[in-house]
Amino acid sequence: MLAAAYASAAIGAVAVAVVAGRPGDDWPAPLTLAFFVALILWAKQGAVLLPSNIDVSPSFMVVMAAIAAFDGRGLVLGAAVVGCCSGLTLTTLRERRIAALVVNCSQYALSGIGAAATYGFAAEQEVPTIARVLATGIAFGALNVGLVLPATRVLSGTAWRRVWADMRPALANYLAFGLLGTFVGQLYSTLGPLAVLLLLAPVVIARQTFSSFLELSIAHEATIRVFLRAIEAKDTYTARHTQRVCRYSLLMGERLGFSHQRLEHLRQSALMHDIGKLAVPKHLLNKPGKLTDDEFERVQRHAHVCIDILGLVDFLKPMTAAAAGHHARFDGGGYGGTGERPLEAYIVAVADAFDAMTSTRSYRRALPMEVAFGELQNKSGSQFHPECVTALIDAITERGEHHGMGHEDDIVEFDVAPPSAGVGSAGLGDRVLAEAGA
Amino acid sequence: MRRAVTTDAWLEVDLLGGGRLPLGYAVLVAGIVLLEPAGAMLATAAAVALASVHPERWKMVRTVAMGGSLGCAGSWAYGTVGLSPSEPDLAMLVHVAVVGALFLSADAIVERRHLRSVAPLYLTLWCAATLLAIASRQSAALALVAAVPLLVTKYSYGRFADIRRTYAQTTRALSLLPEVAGLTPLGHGERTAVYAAALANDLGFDLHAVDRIATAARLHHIGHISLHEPEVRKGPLDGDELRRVSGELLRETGFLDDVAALVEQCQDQGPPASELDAAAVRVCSHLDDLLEAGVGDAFAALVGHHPSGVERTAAIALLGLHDRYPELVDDARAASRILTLVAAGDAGHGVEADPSHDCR
Repeated sequence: MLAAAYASAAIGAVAVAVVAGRPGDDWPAPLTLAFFVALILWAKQGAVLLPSNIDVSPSFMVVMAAIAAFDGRGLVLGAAVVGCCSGLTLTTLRERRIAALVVNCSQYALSGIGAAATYGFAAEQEVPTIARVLATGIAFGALNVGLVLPATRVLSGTAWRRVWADMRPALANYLAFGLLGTFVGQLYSTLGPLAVLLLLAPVVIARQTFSSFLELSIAHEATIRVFLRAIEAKDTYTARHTQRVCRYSLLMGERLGFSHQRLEHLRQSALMHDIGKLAVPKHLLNKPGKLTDDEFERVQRHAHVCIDILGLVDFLKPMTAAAAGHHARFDGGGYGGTGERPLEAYIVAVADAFDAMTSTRSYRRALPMEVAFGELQNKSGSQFHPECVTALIDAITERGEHHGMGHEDDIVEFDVAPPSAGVGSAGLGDRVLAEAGA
Repeated sequence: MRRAVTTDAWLEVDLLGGGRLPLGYAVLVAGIVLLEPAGAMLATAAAVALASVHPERWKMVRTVAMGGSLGCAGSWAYGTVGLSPSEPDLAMLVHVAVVGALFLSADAIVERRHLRSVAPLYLTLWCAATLLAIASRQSAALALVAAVPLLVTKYSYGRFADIRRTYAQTTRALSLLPEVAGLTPLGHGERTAVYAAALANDLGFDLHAVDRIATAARLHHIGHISLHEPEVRKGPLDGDELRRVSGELLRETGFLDDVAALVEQCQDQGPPASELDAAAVRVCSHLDDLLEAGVGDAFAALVGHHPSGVERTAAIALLGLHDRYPELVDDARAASRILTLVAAGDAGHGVEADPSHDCR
C-alpha cells in the first residue's frame, strides 16, 4: 500500500518536473534519442556487480553523455526519457516488481531532469566545462541519493546508514566517469555515435576482464573448499581445528582493523595453513602417546614438505613460518631474511596455539580457557605477537565465549584416553610432544 | 622501487597468453599526433630513453624506436597528403588511427604478439589515444579525464592477473599433495599440465580453455588424497573409482563442474571420451607414465596405445607437436623439477614414490 502510494507520488513528481523544468522545451532529434535509449538499455542489462571501490558505472556515464549531447535541443525531455530507461532492468521486469520498477524509473527520470536543468542553466551562465560537469554530477547524485534512500527504506527496509555506506566509496569514481561521459557527449555533435564507442569499448573490455576476475575468484574459493573436503575425509579433528583457527584469526583481524580485502586473505591463509597434514599418514596424525624416533622423523619430513608446499603459493608464504613451529616465534628474527613478517603469520600462529590448547588431542586433554590465556600472555612478546594475543583475549572475553575444557564443540573418542597434562601449542601436535619430551 | 617506477609508469598489463603490453603507448601515440614533426621525434627520443631503464630494455627500446619513427613518418605523410577531413575532431580520429596502426604493428612484430589475446587491448589503446589527443587539444584537465579508461583497464587487468597467478599456485600446491604422500610419482600433475597445455594450444583451443584444461590436468589425480593411505593399500586402485572420487571431490565444491567433468573422463579404462579436451588430459597423463617407465620412443608408443577414437587424434597431435618441438619433454621436466625439488626437500630426505602404487 505504502509502496503504491510512493509510486504514484513519484509519477506525479515526474510530470510536474517535466512541465516546470523548461517551458517550451523541444523533443530531441529522434535518431539521437533512439541511440541513447538503446545505449542505456544495453548498459543497464550488461551490468556487473563490482566491488564498490572501482564501480565502473556505464549507465551513469551514458546519462551524462546524453545530457551533453542533447544540449541545445530537447535537453530536459531527452534527459527524462533516457533517465527513465536507466531504471529498467530485466530482473525487476521478470520478477514483476511493478512498484519497484515505477519508483526506479521515476527517480532516475527526476534525477535526469534535475541534472539536465542544472547543465542547461550552467551553460547559459557560460560556466567552464569542469565546473558545469561538477554541478550536473552533484545535482544528479544528490537527487539520486535523496530519492533512493527513502525508496530503499520503504521497499526493502534497509537501514539508512547501510545504504549510505554502500554508496559513499563510489562517489569519486562517479565524478571521473561523469566528466568522461560529458566530454564524450560533447564529441557526439562532431563524431556522432563513434564518439560513444570510443569511450565504451575500453570500459566494456575492462568490465569483461573484471567479470573473468570474479569468476576466477569463485573458482579459487572452490579450490580451497576441495582442500577442506579432502582434509575432512582424512581427519575430522584437523578439519574442525582449521575452521576454529580461521574463526579466531578473523576475530583478531577484525579487532586489529583489517580491511575487507585483507580479512579475505587472512581467511584463506588460515584455511590453508594446515595443507601439509594431507601428506602425513593418518595413523601418525592421531597416534596416542609418544611417537617412535622413526615416526617422528617421518612427521618431521612431512612438516618440511608442508612448509615447501605453502611456499609455492604467494599468499600463503607468510604461513610457512607458522607451519615451521618454533620458527614462528615473534622474537625469532625476520622471515626468510627479507625483513619483518606480515601480521597475518603471527595471527594464525596465535589462533593455532590457542585452539591446540583448548581442544582435546590424541595425546592430551583440552586445557581450561584461563590456562590457555595465561600461556599466551606468558609467551606474549617472546613466542607470540603481543598485539595479536591482546586482540584474541579481548575479542573472546568481549563476546563472553567459553572454550577449552568442558566447552569443546567436538568431543573426540579415543581408544586410549589421552593424558591431561602438557601445554602443546603448534599445528602438528605429534611434533610438539616429541619436542617437549626431548 | 625501480621496477615499480619503470613498469607502472608505462601502465603495463599482463596478457593472457604471456607477455606484457604497456598501455602507456597510448600517450606516446597521442603525443606524436599532437606535436609538429620535430616535437614528435623529440617525444619518441624521450620515450626511447625511458624505455632504456625498463627491466626488458632491448625489446622495449626496439618497439618504441621502431614504432615511434614509423608513427612520426606516418604522421608527417598524413599531414602532407592533405586528405584529412575538414571536421577537426574527425581529422584527429583518422590521424590517430594512422599513427596508432603503424605503432601497434611495430609492437606486434617486435614482440611477436599473439593477436588473439592482444586485440582487445590494442582496441583500448587506440580508443584511449584518440580520446587523449582530442581532449589535450581542449585542455590539460580534460586530458587527465581522458586517461581514466586506461587506468580502469590497468586496474582490472591487474586484479585478473593476480587472481590467475594465485589460482594456478593453489591448484599446483593441491596437485602436489598426492605426490608428496607417495601416491603418484613426483611432478606427475605438473608434467601432465605442461603437455596438456601445449596440446590444447596446438589444437587451437581459446586461451581460457587452455587454462581450464591445464587445471584439470594438474588435478586429475587429486582423488588419491581422499581414497587411500599408502600404508593400508593392498593393490592398484580401481581406475573407475579414482575417476569418480576425483570428479566428485571437485564437483561437490559447486563451481568446478567443468573441470570435474574433464577429470571424470580423463582416467584410463573410462568410458569413451566424447570431448577432445578430456582425451587430451588422458593422453598426456599416459605419456607421462610412459616417460616415467622409460619407454624408449614414448611418443610413438603413445599412438600405439590408443588405436582408435578421439584419444588417437589427441595422441597423433601430441606426436606431431613433439616432432615440431622436441624440447617439449624438457619443458615439462623443467616445470616439474622445481616443484619436485621443493616438495622433496633435500635429496637425502626425498619422498620416493613406490611404482606398485602407481595406478592412474
